[in-house]
Amino acid sequence: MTPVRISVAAAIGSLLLLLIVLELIRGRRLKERYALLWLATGLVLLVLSLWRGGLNTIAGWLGVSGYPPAILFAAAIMFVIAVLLHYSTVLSKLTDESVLLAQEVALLRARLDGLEGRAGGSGGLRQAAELADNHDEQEHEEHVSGEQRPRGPRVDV
Amino acid sequence: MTRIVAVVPAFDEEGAIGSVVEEIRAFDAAIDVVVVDDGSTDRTAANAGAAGAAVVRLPFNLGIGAAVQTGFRYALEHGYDVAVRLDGDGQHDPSELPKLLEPLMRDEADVVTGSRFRDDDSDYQPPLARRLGISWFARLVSMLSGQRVTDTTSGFQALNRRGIALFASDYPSDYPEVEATVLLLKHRLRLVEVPVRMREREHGSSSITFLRSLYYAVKVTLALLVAMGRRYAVPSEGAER
Repeated sequence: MTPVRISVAAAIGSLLLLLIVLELIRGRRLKERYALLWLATGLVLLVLSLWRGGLNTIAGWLGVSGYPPAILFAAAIMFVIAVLLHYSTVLSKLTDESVLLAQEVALLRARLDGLEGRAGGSGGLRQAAELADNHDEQEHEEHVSGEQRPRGPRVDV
Repeated sequence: MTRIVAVVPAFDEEGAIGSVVEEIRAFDAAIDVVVVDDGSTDRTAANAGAAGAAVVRLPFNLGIGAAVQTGFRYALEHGYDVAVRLDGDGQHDPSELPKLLEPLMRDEADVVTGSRFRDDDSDYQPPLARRLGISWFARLVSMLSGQRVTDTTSGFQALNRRGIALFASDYPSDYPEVEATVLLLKHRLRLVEVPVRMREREHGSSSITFLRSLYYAVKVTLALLVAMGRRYAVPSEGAER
């Protein structure tokens, strides 16, 4: 049987996790999309720590005879792995998107350089001629904002 | 009149890029040159522009695959009929371009690759590790695709509109050429290899060292096998992004 003190400590830990996650969502510091897995983690751990009979039953199913709280660790580790895997997919998506954005910025900047006629190459001049018809009126505005745009990778915190 | 653009990816190639651009323009002034500067910290962009190329400057280093793709997206957006890719270090000789363009002009291929190994009496002898890698991928790709491919790592390529549209929308990242070969065959694009000679690098050394080759071999093999398991739609010619 799981010692009572372990159940209480685990329940307090899970509750804390749940409260912190909820508070982060409330303060808009955590998007709901990313919070769902954390909420599920907290809930499952809370249920497993309070429902002591259930923990023993599951331990029995899995053949864990000596120390039922090991199921708590196993569950926690499983969820941590799930969260990390989820992060890897999010990272991959963000990478793809930032590459796309960088390409788009570069292509736009090349067009802008062409419009302003300072690309220095025939390609730039040819683009300028191509685009001049459509963009006559916007050109001035673009020129102004063009001078202010950041020149390299910029990190905003 | 077929409009042709030469896509030249370059990363810190200030020493070579000027002459590469000039050489292409000297070979055929009707070919526009776009240099994709992959976040260089030297004067690559300035030298390319001074030599008469249009310059697309990526805001930070994206790696060769994304840089090349940027060039193809440029070609797509500007409505070019044909894009040829030459590397910024000068190893691809513009005088070989007619060989690459011919199958495209006769509409016998969507993508033409310049192969260093198609010619049996080719005197190109890369270091052992590279040769092993190259032949491993040539075999693997030939087996997976059912078409004999001899040089899967060549970046010397010419593409028609279908090829441009495919690579503009989907192009692999780190070491892209091998995967790109499989990608285009999966999309049922017609690939033709022509024998070409490549030059020794004019400046710097090849970016592929031994440990990197090993990493490269494992990573690309994995990517290839995964890619074979994907489903691909055959792209339509008019598809823009």
